[in-house]
Amino acid sequence: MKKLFSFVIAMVLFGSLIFSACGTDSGKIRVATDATWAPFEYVDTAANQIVGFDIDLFTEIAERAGIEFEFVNVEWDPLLAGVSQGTYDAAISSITIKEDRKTDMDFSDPYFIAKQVIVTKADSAIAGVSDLVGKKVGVQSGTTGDDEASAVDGVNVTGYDEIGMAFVALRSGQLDAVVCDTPVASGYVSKYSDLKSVAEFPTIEEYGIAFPKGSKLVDKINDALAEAIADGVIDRLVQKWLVS
Amino acid sequence: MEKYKKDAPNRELSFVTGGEVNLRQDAWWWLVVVVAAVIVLLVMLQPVPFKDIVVFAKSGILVTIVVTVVSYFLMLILGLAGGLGRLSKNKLFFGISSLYVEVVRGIPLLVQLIGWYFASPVIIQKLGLWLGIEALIQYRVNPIVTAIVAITVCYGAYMSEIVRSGISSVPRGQMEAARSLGMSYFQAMRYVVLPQAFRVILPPMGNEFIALLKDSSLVSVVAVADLTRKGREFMAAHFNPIETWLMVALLYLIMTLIAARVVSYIEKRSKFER
Amino acid sequence: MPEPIIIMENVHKRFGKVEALRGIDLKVNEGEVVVVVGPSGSGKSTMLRCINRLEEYDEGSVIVDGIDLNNPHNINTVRSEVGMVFQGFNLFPHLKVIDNLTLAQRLIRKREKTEAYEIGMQLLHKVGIPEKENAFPGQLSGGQQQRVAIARALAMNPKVMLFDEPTSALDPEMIKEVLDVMAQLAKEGMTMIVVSHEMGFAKAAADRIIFMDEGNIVEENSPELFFSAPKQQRTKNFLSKILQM
Repeated sequence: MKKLFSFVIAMVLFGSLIFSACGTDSGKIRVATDATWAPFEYVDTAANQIVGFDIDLFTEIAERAGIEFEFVNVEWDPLLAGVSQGTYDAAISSITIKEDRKTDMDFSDPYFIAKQVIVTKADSAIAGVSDLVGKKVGVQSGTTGDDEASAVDGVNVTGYDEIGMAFVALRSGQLDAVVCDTPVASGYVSKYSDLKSVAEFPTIEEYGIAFPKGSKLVDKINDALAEAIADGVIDRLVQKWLVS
Repeated sequence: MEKYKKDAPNRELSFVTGGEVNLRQDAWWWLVVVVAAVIVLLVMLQPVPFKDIVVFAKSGILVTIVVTVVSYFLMLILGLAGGLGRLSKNKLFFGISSLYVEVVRGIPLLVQLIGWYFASPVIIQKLGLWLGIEALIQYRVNPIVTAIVAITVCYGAYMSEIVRSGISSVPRGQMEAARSLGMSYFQAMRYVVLPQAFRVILPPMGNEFIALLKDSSLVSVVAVADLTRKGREFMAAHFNPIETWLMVALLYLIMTLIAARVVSYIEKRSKFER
Repeated sequence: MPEPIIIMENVHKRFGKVEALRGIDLKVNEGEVVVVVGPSGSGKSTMLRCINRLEEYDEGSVIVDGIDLNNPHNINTVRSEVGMVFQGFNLFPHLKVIDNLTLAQRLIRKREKTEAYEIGMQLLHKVGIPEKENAFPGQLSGGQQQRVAIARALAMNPKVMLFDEPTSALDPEMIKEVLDVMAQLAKEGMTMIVVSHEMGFAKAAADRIIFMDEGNIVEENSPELFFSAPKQQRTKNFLSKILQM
């Protein structure tokens, strides 16, 4: 038993060493992203690297602004909370600029315009937003897709922790439709031939980079962003990531 | 002092030792083998995506194991203190430990995790502002440490009750005999009561480990890159929820099955130990 | 005349509303063997357990070998000088017999392993079961367990031995072996206080018999006088009930 005890003590010390090291300051700014939203930010599992539209965009911007940074891959809820608390210096993660979010964080200028799209099974009769009335619609809880679908009167909205689960439910017939961001929808539609994209919601949303309130980085980033847009970076990235 | 082998072991079990016990052991190990075989088959027959999932999730498995093991042993210590407190005649110790147990048991672990992760930095920072301590103002939450603390505190409350009932099951006469020989309360606990209580506590202790292993998946919600989080990342990159979650479930299953075998082994060994 | 080794003065003990001890005055000299008898509920065990403070008394004082038990710091010291043998033996079931005997020696008397072992074996010889050194308590008969319990208490070299109904839980054929050990101990001059119903032992080994009823010491006398010429009516009633066996 003594051996087991000392092994455990060693494990605890070892573990705490490793994990306390994670918190050390390397001088680079920490940029949070929830790498589970292809093609904007996701993990290239073979190379174990975070990749995507947002990833490339921020890399370009940081280069122009002369900022050293590192990405931190965190879950969505801690990401938002972390930005507002200042745990992270910035976050780029398909974050829609919303008024109620502005009370907790600052945003850069918008860098992308996104729409919500309806996805159904290939043989579905649903053709537009008005056809969703009385139907079962899946969304990812807390996203703008959730907001949009719920705003339509008479729609039966089911929230899922992850959009992937909503698509599973759609394919198995438990849902009539799924509403989510256009790029993400394209990923699923191109993979599964029994799904199709139907129509987009008329309202648009804009993605922005989030910062803790009062952050000094906002202006620098905005300047670099404007430069990047002028250089055609956005168009290039759209070609690379969004045109399949 | 020679180790006895031929003498009859603890008399309560002498009718159990023998072929019967071994048979039950074998059946359980078969289950482990079956699950392992399924995993291996999936990886070999359909490496895309199953092998990729396993390879990618490796670091998550390590994190899950470390979080589980570290939290477990810390909560044992907390549980021992809490259990002794719940049995204490001292009103302060009794009060604090009872309050701790009742409050913590009344809140779901997920809520506690979220509370620790999101609320504690705010509280600490405000405290720092109020007291003017720079270090506190600059406090940034460390996800893994916070997760381990949350799990330890939560499971410690349940462990306290397990310890308390285990100690209560030891006849009062044991403590009396030890004290009448002149032993202090702590000596009596350490050498006489706790070793006997341990045998009663051991099975539920094992259950708690397995429960903890599964509950560790909750830490993915608070920014810890465990197996569940890795599964989520893989699935988002490849749009294949069913295959991903199947493999993740199998990986959790094999960990809990192995843990259950280890617990069972320790239980058996402790019955014949000194 | 040296000071009595045990002095109890006006000891009161209440359990809730029930008064278990109503002002006990008792003096026991070194080397004396005192047997305490009485009906159940009379407070005999409670009084015994006050001497090593397993029970906390509410009023009065208990002084053992000059050490005042009212001071909580003295409790462990007193307990190592006072050995106790319980009705239920209370051997440590997770330890071998020999370890039962050596545990307290090593922890409290701070004796080395070998020294404690030798003392333990000596005592096992003394109580007649040296061959059981490596057995576990669960493997012994009741009489054997009680003898080990006596040896365990003796291993601490106590000045006083307390016996709380040591044979009441034993099958009749095992009572004698335990009483023999106790009688031998008495002969060797150990100060003993024995709560028991074994009148034969009382007659043979006691220097004094104390009769308790309802929390009071009703009568005390030498064995001959106690049995032949009881003074109090209550004593007479009690004796008539007991001696009808």
